[in-house]
Amino acid sequence: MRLGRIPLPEGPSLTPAIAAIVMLLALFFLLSADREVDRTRVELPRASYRVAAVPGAAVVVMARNEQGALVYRFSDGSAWSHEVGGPEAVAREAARIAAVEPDRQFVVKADGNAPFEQLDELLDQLRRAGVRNVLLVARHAAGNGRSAS
Amino acid sequence: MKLATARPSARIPTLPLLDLALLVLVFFGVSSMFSGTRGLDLTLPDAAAATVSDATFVNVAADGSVAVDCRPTDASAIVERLRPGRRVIVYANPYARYQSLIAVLDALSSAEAERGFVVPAVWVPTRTDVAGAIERVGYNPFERRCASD
Repeated sequence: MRLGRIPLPEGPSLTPAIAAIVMLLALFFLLSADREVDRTRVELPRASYRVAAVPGAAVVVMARNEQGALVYRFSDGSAWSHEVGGPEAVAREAARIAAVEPDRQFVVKADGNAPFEQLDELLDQLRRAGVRNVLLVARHAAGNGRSAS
Repeated sequence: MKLATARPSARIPTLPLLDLALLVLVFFGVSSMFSGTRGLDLTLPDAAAATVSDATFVNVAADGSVAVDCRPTDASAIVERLRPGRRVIVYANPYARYQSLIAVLDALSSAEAERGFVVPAVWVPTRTDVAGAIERVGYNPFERRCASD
């Protein structure tokens, strides 16, 4: 016996409902995405076992400009980063935040080729400003066989 | 005379809308996977809590070479020389590249994945710590005096 084609039941289309859900998800991703507050080009060091920065962390940048001079930038995590005079100026900005939130994370973006003494000075100033939690930003070290990050 | 006019459809084109929304969703999903600041966590201890006793010393020389308690080692093999439960002091020469310090911190972060234990605390002494220690004990306790020196 040959069965005929079973007709699909007529019903309301689910497409508008799916579209609405997908749009809501897209909106959620758009709103929850971590906002970037600094785009300074820095020759970051490489690491494999990296962890993600806490959303809203303050950002400190130590980079070289085109003339090869060290420049420092700072962001409180909400406003776009701005240039500051040096480690002491970074410390002043950091102290304002650390006084209110001592556990606030400070993300440090520094040139991997810089001598440690320059980072040492920055870390020293941050610590004296009351900062406790630091994240040393690194890019992914590819090709070393490790699997983390 | 009555003209036959085609009335435009009032239906919202949900299928192209769904396509577009899905693409937006995939874009945000993928971009959130690859963006985001990542790095290595570092806690800056209080000066009072920072003592040199009962710790493993990792020294980073100016040329980037590493020694664990005076035993020269490769940065990737540091973990094999650590004792579980013991904190680690990483002392970098001021002229060592920042990347050399990151390589050591990265290796310490790998302890859990590679050896199954977590380094309880990592302390990178800053210039204030060094100056304070010299004032207290009369020499730099972070520069290990090894038998071969």
